[in-house]
Amino acid sequence: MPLTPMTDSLLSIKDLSVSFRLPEGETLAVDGVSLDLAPGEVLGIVGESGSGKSQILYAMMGLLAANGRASGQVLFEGQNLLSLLPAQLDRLRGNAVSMIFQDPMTSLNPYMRVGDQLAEGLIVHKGISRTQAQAEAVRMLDRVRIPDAAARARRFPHEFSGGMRQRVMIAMALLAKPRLLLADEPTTALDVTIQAQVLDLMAELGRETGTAIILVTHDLGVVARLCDRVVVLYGGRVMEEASAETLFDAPVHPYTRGLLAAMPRLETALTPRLGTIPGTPRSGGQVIGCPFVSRCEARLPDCAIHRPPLRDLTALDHRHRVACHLTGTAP
Amino acid sequence: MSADLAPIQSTSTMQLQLRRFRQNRLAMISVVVLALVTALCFFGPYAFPFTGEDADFDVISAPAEFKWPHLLGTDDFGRDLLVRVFEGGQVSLTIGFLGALVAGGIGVLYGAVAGYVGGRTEGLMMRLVEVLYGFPYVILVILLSLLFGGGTMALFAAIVFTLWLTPAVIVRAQAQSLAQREFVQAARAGGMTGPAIVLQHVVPNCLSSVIVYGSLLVPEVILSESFLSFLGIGIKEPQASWGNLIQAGTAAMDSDPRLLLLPGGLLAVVLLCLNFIADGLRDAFDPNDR
Repeated sequence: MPLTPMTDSLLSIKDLSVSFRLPEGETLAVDGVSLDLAPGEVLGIVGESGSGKSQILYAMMGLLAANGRASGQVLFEGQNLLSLLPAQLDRLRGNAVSMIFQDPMTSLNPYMRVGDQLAEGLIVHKGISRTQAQAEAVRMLDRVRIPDAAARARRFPHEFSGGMRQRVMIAMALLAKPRLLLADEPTTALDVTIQAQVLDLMAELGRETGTAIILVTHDLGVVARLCDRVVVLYGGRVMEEASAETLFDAPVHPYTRGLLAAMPRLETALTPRLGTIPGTPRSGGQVIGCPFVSRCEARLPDCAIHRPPLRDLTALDHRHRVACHLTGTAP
Repeated sequence: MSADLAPIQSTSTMQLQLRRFRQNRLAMISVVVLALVTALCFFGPYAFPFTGEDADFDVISAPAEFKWPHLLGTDDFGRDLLVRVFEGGQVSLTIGFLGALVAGGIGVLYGAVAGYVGGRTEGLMMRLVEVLYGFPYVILVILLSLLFGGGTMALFAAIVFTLWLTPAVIVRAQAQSLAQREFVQAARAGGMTGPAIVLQHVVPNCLSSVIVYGSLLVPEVILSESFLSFLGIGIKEPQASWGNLIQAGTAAMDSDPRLLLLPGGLLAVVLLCLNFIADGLRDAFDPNDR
């Protein structure tokens, strides 16, 4: 496994911004996000809709919409993904880095047999024969627990259920044994009863192949279940980053606390109402201060004027970072 | 589990659509009739001891008396009418199917590339299509006839040149929406290159609408071949085509309607069949229209 000599991180995102050209002007979807990911680590990115969490993944994969532009650096094994040529990117995508999409109902080509779709990537990246690739695909389908994999591989996507299709997508993503797997809300479109099953499978296979995972979700339950570390995103900026335990036990940022209060828990099942965060997420436009200021219950006069820097809070966790003026004064 | 799974045949979307097509009686009858006419046109002439271009000066303008060897009589050069109609059918059907196939193929690829690539390239490609749309068809054929020295090639080139435009536009619209679909995104995320995505993901997903349009293209090509040959700028005598046979028939319409009715009737039958088949295909392939 080629690693950069300088760092032990697999992926290092430095000051990534993503903007979209719209008729109304430029909109900043991701605003100066920095992240680090170690090999084999599972990182969760949480945030509300429109917080820019999916766009981080799309920017990394070079899949931004035509009017989108990414700046900053995304260093994957020392290579800046944002400055690669299309052909270099094609060699990496589906090979060292792969991605699972939100909706399994639409992420398979309806006119191609499932086995062929799985094999396609292997033939392209590993240069093996069709027969070998097919055999490899069947083995992988078997590992994602598709019953009677050999027969199913010759079937078409419409003959699979939603959960099975998402397992096929997982098989497809892990087939080339990537070192990094990007999962964009992989269970949102699935039935609640199989969400956990699909997630566990993904995490388990990820562990087996030593694949690092970035899991984008708005479901904190998913984060609690799978992630080593969590990044909370709001308005395209990192609000808080911590290990999963620290985040759930001792959240610092008011937004994180609000999110956790809005999460149903067993022990609070008898309280009549779930907590909510007042207001709606901001949309578009540049913010001078903290993007969360209009909805924050603990705001200070300074919040609307100065952007809070991302500070290290090493009291509980050596990689705990928070962007809030409150932590600067009295944590 | 695997025991009861094995005997069930896996069915593709295409197979399901073809099954639906087979249940359409009118379309199936049309397929049979069309197959019969095609077989007659291609194999019928072998049953006779002469070709359509051999003139028999003993029996000029013989009437249809169902007597061997001139079953339906001869024309005013003493050439056997039935054999000429068969040979004309060969030309018309070949140009019809081949023309639709080539025009469709070019259109599909062009449209798929334009729709998938998008942006300025797409704009340029589609503006070119619009410019070509504005080109007067008949003048183009006359120019090409001059260029190729007339005959089948000029006609074929002119027909393909004008008819690939509509499939290109149809496919472009489809490819554009397909390019946004998640499986195409997934293919890109899987490191597939542009040409591979166009051929494996975009084109197959456009195919059902292309087949429907293509089936309407065949009668259109046959009709324009006949029309141009009728005007005298398509297939030239002595080579027969339905268009120039009908044209010769109209000249003798008052004295001998047989010369017009036979090629005209056969053309009508073929066009009807093709239209019924196109209808059946559309019903089978378009889930919204049932």
